[in-house]
Amino acid sequence: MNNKKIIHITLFLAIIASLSGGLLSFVNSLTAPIINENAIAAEKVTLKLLFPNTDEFAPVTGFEDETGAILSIFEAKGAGLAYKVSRMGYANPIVMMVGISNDGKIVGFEVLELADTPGYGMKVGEAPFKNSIIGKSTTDGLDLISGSTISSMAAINAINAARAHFNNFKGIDDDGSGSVVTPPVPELGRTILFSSDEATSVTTVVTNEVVNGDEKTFTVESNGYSVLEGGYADAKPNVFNVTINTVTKVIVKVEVVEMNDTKGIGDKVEHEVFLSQFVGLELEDENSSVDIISGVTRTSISVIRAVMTTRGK
Amino acid sequence: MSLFKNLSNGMIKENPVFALYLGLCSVLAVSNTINNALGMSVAVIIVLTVSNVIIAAMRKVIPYEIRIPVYIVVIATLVKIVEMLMQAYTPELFTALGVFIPLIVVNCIILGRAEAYASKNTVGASFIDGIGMGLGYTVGIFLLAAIRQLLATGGLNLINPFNQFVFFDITIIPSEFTIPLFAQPAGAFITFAVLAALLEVYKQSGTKPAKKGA
Repeated sequence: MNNKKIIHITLFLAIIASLSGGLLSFVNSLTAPIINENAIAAEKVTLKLLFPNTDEFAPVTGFEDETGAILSIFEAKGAGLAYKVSRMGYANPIVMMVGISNDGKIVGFEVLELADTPGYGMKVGEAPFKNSIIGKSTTDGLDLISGSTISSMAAINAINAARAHFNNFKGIDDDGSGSVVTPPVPELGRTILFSSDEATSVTTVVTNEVVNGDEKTFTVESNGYSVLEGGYADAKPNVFNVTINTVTKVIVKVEVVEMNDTKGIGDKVEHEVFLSQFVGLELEDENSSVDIISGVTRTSISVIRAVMTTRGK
Repeated sequence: MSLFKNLSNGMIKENPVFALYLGLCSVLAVSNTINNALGMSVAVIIVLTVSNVIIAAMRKVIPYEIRIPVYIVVIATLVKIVEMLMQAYTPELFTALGVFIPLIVVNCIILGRAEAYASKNTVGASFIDGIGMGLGYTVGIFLLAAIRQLLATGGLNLINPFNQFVFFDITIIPSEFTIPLFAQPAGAFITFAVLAALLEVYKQSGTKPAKKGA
């Protein structure tokens, strides 16, 4: 092959390639605005909810996301970024849109698809959760919902994926505190009177008694959810320490020694919100009552029964 | 070769899908509904015909040594244009066909016709060949899709991809008797094998006397 031939071939291929490139950029200039419009058309309503003052949105392509939670990203011109994110909830995937303003604040949160347990996981779509997220910065911690740990954790993980991308994109330094999730405060449900059947009908086993002046501490075994429900291989009663002032018949302290009910649910009774209710109540008072933890009825009642067993001892 | 013979050749005897076994990747993958199958077919016909015409028009000026890169540049450009147009004007179809639109670039029917036919024939003949082969592809993928969709979902439907107008949507087999397997890739292979075997039987039935010794 002589030099002339090589130059001929090179030029020919160069011309073909530039013709092709020119044609492609021409067609691209015609179709790009329509493609852009198509991409945001489906999300336009939600995007407007996140950024009500912005009219111009554009999809962001070619983003990097190791978590796989980010489905798509839209830029709200001059306002911030909107992320469509999804994570597996308790039963079904949860799809959400998160709007983060250019100054690093979460300005909007909309749940697009959610089909978890009504009363529990569905709380992810309700106002208190939404309000707890809006206004947080991209490095703040987020609060789980009591009783829907799995669903709200999924939502928070998805939001964190969006925040991680945003921080990376804007060069915001995240010290990692945002990933620390505040443990949920259990929500209290209905009230149970000490004198009610539920509290007194079942007696529990006192395994140990320690006297310390006027105060007496009983160690009580009380059947919780795992024993009452049956079907659990190693079902064991829960063990509590109940301290009573023997003179005034006032409850001094209730402590959990051993928790053998469902992890993540039964152990909510260990929370201060529940146990502190007992302090100062009179055992013999017909009107003494405590609120049980919503969604943790059996375990909560096992604590009350343990306390009631100490009555008259 | 007469015009008609040229056309019908691509559809039956040299049907690219069932007789030449070309371009099977997209045929097996997108033949789950007749909507997807027809959308894919239109894209393939356009790319195949236009690339045939361009390559036939340039056949005397393309240096022999770099003909394959030139074909690929031509085909890839056309596919990219079709892809952008589909994304802009038929987004649902574009989403349904997904990666198989860009994969038209490596569809061997197109490169095969460019090398075997368009580079040696006139623009007119190459145009007819493109249409004929494209229709052959259409017949193949449409048959496959119609059988698969009917067996898997019990019905057939056709929607205009430009405005979502429903041409027809019929149910023939009650849902208790559908076979979801046919929506899966395995169903595509089974249907394909049966159709390819039937075509072979048809081809051999015409040439029986000559095949005595074989």
